[in-house]
Amino acid sequence: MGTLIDGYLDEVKRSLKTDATTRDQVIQELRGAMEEKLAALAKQRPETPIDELEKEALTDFGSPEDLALAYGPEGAHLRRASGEIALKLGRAVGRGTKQVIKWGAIVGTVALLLGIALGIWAFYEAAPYVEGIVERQVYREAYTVHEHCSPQACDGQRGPQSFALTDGARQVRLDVDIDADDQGHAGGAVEVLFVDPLGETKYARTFNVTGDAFYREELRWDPLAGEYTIAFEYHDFVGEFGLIVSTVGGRI
Amino acid sequence: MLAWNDERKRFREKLDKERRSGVLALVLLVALDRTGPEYGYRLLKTIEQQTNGRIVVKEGTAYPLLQKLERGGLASSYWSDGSSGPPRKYYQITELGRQVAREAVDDWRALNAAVSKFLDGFGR
Repeated sequence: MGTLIDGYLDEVKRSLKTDATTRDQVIQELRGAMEEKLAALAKQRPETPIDELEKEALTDFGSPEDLALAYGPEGAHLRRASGEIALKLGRAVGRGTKQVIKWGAIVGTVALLLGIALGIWAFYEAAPYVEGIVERQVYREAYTVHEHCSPQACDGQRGPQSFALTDGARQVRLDVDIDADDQGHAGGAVEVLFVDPLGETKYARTFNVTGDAFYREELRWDPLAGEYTIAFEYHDFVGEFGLIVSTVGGRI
Repeated sequence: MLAWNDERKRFREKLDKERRSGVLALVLLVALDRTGPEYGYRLLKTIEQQTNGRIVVKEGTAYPLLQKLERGGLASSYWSDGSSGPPRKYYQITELGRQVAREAVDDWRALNAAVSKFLDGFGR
């Protein structure tokens, strides 16, 4: 077994929020899948170094933290390998195991059907999403602001505001949303500044406002724990300004 | 206006996750119905081959989803004894899963037909 795969699974194991039995079974299943994928890659390209093949084999599993998160804390509620579902139904609990499973299955079915119905509705207009499914990024909101600058323009600096990340974020997303006010007026400019715990500017941009606009920036760097600051400055800005800072990884 | 835009974007992102999850759940269930008991890696390969590469489900999405299907009673699993290799976790569709998938596919076909009819002639 390769070192990379071992290291990856160690991280998944650390991040999994499940009971020990489920955790061991998840790791065993993933290890089997990775081994098989690695073997298939090695057969196709026997001359390629094994560590390169390992990296490739791991790509489609996503980051270990995201993978562990996808299993969800609900994994801790898995009672038995037979798949029995236990739900708290108040009085229904007393009706016996068969009723519990029946209602659990109905609730689960309704939830799944809703999800499938939404999926089916969107699938037809968004078939390309199914081709080459990209790994899901789990973003957590770290900071938001929403300001209304009308009818008087806003001018001057706001912030810096700060938020702390205890473990360091691998990726930060900045969503900037600029809208006209209720009368359709929008103008001026907004400058956004994002600084890391070492005081290094990670992002600085001035948005010249001419109407409704939405900007998304994905920023990546080596994880750095500590206090991040964000500041923005208005220059005769009229309209509505919104900013959401979200992170992948890191604890807020 | 901004609050609505904010909610709209968040809803779109949530919908994005939901629709992928919902569609993939159906794909996995139908695949299990066709193949019979199968383990994850081979199930994903089967889906890829049978769709000529148009549906590629990544492992980081598939394995947690298979577990969720099992928790929901739509699939069950067992471990192989590993006599010809490492132990593998095999999944199979349950009767409940078959029923849910049947209904979901019917809904899909009805929606597909309705949308096709609605779009007919557009862009010509």
